[in-house]
Amino acid sequence: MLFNSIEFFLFFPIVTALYFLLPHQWRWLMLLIASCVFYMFFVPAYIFILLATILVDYVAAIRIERSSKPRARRWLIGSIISTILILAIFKYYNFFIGNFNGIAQLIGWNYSVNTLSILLPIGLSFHTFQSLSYVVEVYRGNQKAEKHFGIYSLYVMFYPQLVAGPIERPQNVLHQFREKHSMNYLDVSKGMQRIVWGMFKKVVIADNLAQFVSPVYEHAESVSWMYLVIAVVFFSFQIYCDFSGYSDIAIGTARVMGFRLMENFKLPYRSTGVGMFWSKWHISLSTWFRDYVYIPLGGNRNGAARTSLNLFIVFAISGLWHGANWTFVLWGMAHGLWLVLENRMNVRWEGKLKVWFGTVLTFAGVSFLWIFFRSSSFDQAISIIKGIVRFQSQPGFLPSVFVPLNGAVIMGKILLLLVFVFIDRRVTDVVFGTRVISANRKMWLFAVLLASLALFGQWGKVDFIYFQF
Amino acid sequence: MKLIVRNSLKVLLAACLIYAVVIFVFSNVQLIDRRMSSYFIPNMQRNGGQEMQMMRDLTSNQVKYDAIVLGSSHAYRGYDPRIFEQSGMNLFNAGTSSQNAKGSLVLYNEYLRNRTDVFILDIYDPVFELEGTESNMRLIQNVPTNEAAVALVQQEFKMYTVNALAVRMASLNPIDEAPNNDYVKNGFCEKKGILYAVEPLNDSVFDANEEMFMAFEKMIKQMQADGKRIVLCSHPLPASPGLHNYHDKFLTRFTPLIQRLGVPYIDLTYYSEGFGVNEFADLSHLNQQGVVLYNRILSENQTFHEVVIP
Repeated sequence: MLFNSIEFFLFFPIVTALYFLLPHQWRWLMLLIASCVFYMFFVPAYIFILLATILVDYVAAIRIERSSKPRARRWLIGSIISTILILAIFKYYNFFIGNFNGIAQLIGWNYSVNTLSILLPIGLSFHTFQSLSYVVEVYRGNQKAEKHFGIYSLYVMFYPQLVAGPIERPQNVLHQFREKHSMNYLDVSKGMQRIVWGMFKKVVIADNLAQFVSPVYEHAESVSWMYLVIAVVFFSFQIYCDFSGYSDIAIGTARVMGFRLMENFKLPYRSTGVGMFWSKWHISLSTWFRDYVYIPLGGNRNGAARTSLNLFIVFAISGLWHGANWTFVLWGMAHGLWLVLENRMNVRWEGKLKVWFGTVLTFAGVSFLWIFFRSSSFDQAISIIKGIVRFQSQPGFLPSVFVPLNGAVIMGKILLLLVFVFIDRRVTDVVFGTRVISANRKMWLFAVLLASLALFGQWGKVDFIYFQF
Repeated sequence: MKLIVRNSLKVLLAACLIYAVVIFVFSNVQLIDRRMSSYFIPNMQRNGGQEMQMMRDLTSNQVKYDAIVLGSSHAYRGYDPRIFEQSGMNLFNAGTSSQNAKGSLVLYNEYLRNRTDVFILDIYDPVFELEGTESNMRLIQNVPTNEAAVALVQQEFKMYTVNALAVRMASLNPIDEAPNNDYVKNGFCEKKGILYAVEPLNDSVFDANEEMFMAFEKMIKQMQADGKRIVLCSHPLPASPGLHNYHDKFLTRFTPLIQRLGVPYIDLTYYSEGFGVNEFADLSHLNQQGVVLYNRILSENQTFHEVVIP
């Protein structure tokens, strides 16, 4: 079920009302059933894959807790391998087979393996990582193994963050399913504010920008360099509003019921370097890689060279996590390299003008690298970059897909984006509670956002970008 | 709980007020060459154009026509009343851009039911794939009566169509902002130009929108219940690679439906005799030279004759 669908507008109030109406001991069951229904709106059969992951990690965690260290380690490895195996089959099998076949052809080996015709289960990368974090934390002794299968299933399947995070840690969430939440004004109002702000970012900003970005990327060779530059900038905001919008809706939906999920975004484009950017972008994933990959690799404990290598490895894996395509791997590696160079050069941006310059420079770099992230192939990415650096003019006529995107509509979108850039920090601060405004002003602010949803929203059931991961 | 309900209502009321004010301003304030609504509100079109010109022509008199054409741009650009006039037939073309069965049904019920006994329904495959929202929004903006606009919103109840209705209601002085210079008369627009090159169809897989087939069936049944005579027609298309694959897929879904409904279908999609690049304006439209040829072929077609002139 998509957050921006009519089904969710019925689902959310019903589930929330049931949650508060039911006695505490039955709430977990209702939430679990609701989460199953939510997930089964995509491809119903894939719930069995999810259940398999849950079952394996549930058993493994209990065994880890009850076993001696070497035996626990074997259970941990077994659990990690089985979870990663599911990810490998459904997400990376065709990618690896494609590469294998390519190499075989290159060396003249007349052998090819068939690819599988399977759909990627939605949110697989998210809930497998959440499941893994649980097993590792139990192994490390930071979390007790959950004996209640239903509660553990809910930890993995909790519908607000099931398909695109935030990737939670057991210490933060698991105990909340046992706590009794009563309906209170603060949680409901804060939660609703997050939902409205998230919807605004997704439906008004991201989906409006997507209308221009998608055809430009598809017809990169038929449009002028100006269109390409606009599309690159638009995509930076599209992906930010799309994903942070999803996170806001997820956090808000959970908050209405009294649950606190971790923050995932903190105004990432207001960063003066790539390191700062990654501390504000998809925080739940960045910290997951820090805790479960970077630190186990040695972190920064083994000298500068090894630290750099560790960073590079982590970002390369992070790229692969995003998608089974070399464009994602390159995107990740480029970020890793940038971060290594930044750390080595120890750049400091002090003073208002320098901070501003550093912010613009970081945004330009991040936007440039998004080209690889958004492109479906290297060729597409290269043709976009070539088109920009060569100041490509528009050859002949525009493909018919651009007919509705006339100059007036594009100007409208640019204006919308400028308004967003102006209000983003202000509204985010209000929503986070770091800026206090009068109740009256707050009422008008959210009324404007709601009216904007009706007036400017793209209600065409556009998928969230991160659903594909 | 009371506080939650009270504050939610306050925010909702304020949102409605803002919505109304913005709609009023956007519907009446001109920015450069058009009202603000067509810059900022998704899918909102400029007022007027062929839809407004056609509706004005239709409602300016109470003439009873020998036949009325319904359909997409294939319809309003493909059936020239001047050519049919030569064979003594008074034809009106009520096609509009991407018009689908939902829009056609509202036009039929509100304006066309008593204006003819014969309907020529132009069939163009992609219309059965589209959601049809934009097309209905154009009609909502341009039909002469509010009743028809409301009926169109009921057919396609979405935020977009509600916005189009709100803009329509709030417009103090709706004018034709984008007159179609190709407009001739009786709804017909003359298409100029010659096909540049025949390119393969990008998407050769017909992806049916079942809602459109259901709406089509509903429309035909209603027309039949009213005793109207119906003929379905498709004009020739350039022989582009992928066309057969696409149209055959459409026919697999469409043929059983029309057989069940018992409506004749003159399908000239693959007809190529006399149709070269000089007869097409683009990949999906005939130019005037092609229209003349197509309309003559149609006039001589026995099925067409049997339905139109029984």
